[in-house]
Amino acid sequence: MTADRSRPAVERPGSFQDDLLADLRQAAPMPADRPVAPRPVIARTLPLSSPPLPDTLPVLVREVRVTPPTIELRLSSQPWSMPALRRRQGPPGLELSAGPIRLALAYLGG
Amino acid sequence: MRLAVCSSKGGVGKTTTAANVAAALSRHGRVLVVDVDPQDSLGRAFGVVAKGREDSLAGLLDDPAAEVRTVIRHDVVPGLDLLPAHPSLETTAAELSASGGLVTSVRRLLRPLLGDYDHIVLDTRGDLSGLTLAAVCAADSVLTVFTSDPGSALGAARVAAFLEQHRAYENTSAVLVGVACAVWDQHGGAARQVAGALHRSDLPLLETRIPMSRRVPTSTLVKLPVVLSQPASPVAQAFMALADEVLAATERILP
Repeated sequence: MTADRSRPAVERPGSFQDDLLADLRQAAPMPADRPVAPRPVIARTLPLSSPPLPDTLPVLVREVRVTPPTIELRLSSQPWSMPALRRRQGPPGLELSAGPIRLALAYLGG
Repeated sequence: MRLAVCSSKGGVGKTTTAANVAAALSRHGRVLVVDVDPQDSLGRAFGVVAKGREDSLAGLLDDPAAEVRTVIRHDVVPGLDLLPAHPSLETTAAELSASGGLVTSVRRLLRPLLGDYDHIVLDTRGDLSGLTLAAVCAADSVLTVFTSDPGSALGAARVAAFLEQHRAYENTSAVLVGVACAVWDQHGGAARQVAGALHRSDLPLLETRIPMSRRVPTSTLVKLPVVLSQPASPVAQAFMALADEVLAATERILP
């Protein structure tokens, strides 16, 4: 009886200890690998027409202005396609497709 | 301390560790050991075998009105009481699982006893099933063990993930206080590599390593953990050091 060579074993070039460490990290994601939660920011939005803020507010309660975005750039994956450039549906913009990538640029006004 | 000794695989020295750590802890105060493994190996380590279902943890879980103190074997060794398991615990666990009461069953059973003991040690079977979760839910700290087998190190990592998952579900607040080498082969390259990988991981690797010793299987012949049958031996001394290290880690981690 011969060994089944149709599915070769996955080669692991690292040392035994490195490979085991990788397996351990996969089995129990370590704290360092976990996504870090964003620090809470206490902020309020103000209409753009409101008067300027004094500089004496404490940092944690400093009020910030939020300007709505005017342009959206989106990168996504897609089934393989030939390069193509076309107008975007919905908000005005352009969409570039090439291979497995789609790049969409939209003008949101403002 | 309420310590559950867990692993996701069998044959890694979990029951031996539970029995010896419990015996070592009995130097510091009154200890109850609870066998939450249907293979009832922990009781056998002390020469205790339940006569039947009613005489064991299974009977107590079946009948919430049963008086737990009448089933406990008192002073199996000085300062140490034992609640034995029985093979029927497997069926009992399946029934409780179906009715939704398994997870908290051991915790509810032990609640009236908490004031009677300084330490409770729960031995589990070598998997991460509902019965193991029931033991973990009755504990505030968890110890897991490994050998020179890389699979046992992976088992330790899986215990850590298991605890993390069930803390997120709020099934338990138990903390993994240590990962200990239960069979240290000081001349084996594999043992060093496995310990090295665990050292580089963020798992709480304990310093104490239990040396591989023929005294451990021999102790089963006299139906006493090696801590009691050969207290001056290096392996017994290592188990005593492990118990102290686990206790110190628990006191450091838990408020």
